[in-house]
Amino acid sequence: MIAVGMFVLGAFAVGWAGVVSLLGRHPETDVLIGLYVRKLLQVGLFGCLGSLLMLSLELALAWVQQP
Amino acid sequence: MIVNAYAVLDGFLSVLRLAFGLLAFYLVFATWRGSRHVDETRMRTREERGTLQFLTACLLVGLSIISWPVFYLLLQSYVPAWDGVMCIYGVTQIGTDSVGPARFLPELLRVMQLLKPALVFAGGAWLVMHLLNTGTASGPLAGRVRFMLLLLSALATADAITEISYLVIPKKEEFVASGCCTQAFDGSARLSRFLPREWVDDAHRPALYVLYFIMNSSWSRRQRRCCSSCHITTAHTISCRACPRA
Repeated sequence: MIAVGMFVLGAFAVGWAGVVSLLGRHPETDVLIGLYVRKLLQVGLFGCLGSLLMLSLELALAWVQQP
Repeated sequence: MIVNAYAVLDGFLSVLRLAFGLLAFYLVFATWRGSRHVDETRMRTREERGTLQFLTACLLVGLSIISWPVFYLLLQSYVPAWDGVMCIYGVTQIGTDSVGPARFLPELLRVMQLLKPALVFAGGAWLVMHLLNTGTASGPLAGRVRFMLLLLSALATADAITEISYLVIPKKEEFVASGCCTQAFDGSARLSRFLPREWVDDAHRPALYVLYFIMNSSWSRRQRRCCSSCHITTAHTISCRACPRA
């Protein structure tokens, strides 16, 4: 469940970064947009890599435990 | 309606989502309408409404996130209710080809499975845009943030209504005794029971069309000949046996 949640977070964070860069454009937000997009993409990377790691670990454990 | 702990929890969350979705919708609309006035009292009211709007939206986002796994837990809890069902996929197929109210269940589930991720995505997008907007001095993105909240509340309301409908509809399948085509061609009183099935399948359709037109044209020619001999017009449906001169 946690791995699925992290995968969803990773995928959605990339989408939110796209929304911010598309809809958040304004002269007053130019400084902030780069920061927000970077943070959201970091969250996306964390989510995708975390879910990949957890699912790989679960598959490896299932492989080891099979009769 | 199958009542268990998850159904009660899911129903409660759906009612809450419906109520707060409608409240958020109203607040966004009221804020948008009040934004045209520059009166001091109205501006204070707008500020207070903005705080309430933010809290309502946060609650709506939280409810949307919680309702997603609860929905699948609800489907999992429905698995033992039917004999042939072994997993959530089996529950999603309940109501297929049914003629009662249960025929809407698969479609409702399909809509919900699309709406739930869309709702979470819209909630997250609204939150990110709101944080970006509050980081500025004058809040230039307020209109876009309001639009995103409007979208979020509309999605939440639609999702809640769909989920309540799914919970309320009886999960009892009703099927017709036999198909209408089977009844039409296999009836013991019909002549078509003598027609071999091998002759009328889809592969023989062109030949059947040709046969149909040949038989009909020969029949109409016979009609015309018969009626020309007794000077009766061919527009009527008189048969040759009924014709006095045939």
